[in-house]
Amino acid sequence: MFGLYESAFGALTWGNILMLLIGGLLIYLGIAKKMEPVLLVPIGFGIFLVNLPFAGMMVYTPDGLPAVVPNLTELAQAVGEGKIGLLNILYAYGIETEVIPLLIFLGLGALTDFTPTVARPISFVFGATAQLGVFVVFIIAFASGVFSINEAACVGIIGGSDGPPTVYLTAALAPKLLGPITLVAYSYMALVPILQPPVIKLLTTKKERAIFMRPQVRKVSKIEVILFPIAIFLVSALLVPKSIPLIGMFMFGNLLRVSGVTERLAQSAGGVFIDVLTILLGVVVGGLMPAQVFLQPQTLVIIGLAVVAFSFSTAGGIWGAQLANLFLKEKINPMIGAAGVSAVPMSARVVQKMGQKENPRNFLLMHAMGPNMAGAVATSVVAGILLGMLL
Amino acid sequence: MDWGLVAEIAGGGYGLCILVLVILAVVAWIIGLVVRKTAKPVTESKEGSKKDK
Repeated sequence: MFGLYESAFGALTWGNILMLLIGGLLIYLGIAKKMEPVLLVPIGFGIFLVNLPFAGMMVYTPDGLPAVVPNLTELAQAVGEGKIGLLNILYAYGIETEVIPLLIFLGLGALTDFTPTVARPISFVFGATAQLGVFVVFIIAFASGVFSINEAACVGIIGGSDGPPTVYLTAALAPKLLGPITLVAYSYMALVPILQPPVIKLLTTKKERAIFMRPQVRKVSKIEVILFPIAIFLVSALLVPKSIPLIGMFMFGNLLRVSGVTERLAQSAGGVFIDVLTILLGVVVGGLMPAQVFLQPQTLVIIGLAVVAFSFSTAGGIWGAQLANLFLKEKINPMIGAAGVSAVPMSARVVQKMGQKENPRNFLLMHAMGPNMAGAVATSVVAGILLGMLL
Repeated sequence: MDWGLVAEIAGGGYGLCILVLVILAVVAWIIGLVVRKTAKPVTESKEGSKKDK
């Protein structure tokens, strides 16, 4: 009887075991250390799902890409024959079509309060200069010879510290790297409180870090808050058409939040809706990390370059604020530029904490939230620019 | 390696990103300015009508 029965133990490889340990580590970091748990836990479990022999949850081509899902009429037969698994279907319909990252951005828009950015529009400039790491790492990644030009752009976008644009761009330009790039992007976002302070300290003087900013930002009217997502979408859509899907969804979600008459829709978009999509994104991203794809030298290079990307983006934001100070009558604390790397709201919290340490009277959180939100818009614009140039 | 293309993407891309975001900043600033300018007379007229009463 046992002759007919085959357990998975005999087929386990060292690669599988290492990946199971990595998946376990992600689940541990999510649960025990509260590091981006809503993503790291599903990603970790997704890694489990595809690194056990005979599981068949995701079937791959010899190139390491998910197997092609046939049309709907042949779908059931393909599943039955083991040619594809559940995660292949979710990948094909959710990630390859870009549906999941875009709808997640809709939900994030419904959760985003742009008031600090509306109150201080110069925040957009810091959001823009904080994209420096994207382009610096793009050059380094390409020069390394490890990545193609499209892959280098996707490695660079990690410096934008924004999940959905990273997934969106990578699914379009370098789908094979989607697993490691998404994992590294989200993991490093959780590490912002460790990565940013040394760079901020290196590039600012004690005197600059102690610059006092009045606690209250300008009061913003409801009309401004409603006009903001509409105007920002229309202008950026005309300037960078390839960014329309990302910024369109983001601003649409925000309009639902601020309109005052679509509260139910905003609550749905920012509630269960985004939760379901996050589960699907996480588990599929985990599914893109079988041992033969993840355990490659490229992954280690991505992990290293992500530190460079975050550091240069932080520096770009600070330099933007220092440059603005040359022209501003009322000086701003240059640390708020560092929050332009997005990573909402961790980088703003880092600035708040460091600001209070240097000057206990300072309350920089709301000032830093402006560039923080602007950074999310900037990363979407950058993704659109890169798609326009490379696709 | 086509370094010309790399320079175009990195330099041009970053420059374009800053330009677009500066335009967005100006747009947001103009919206704020216009809304504040148009909102003030409404408040004044309300106060005026109260005084009239």
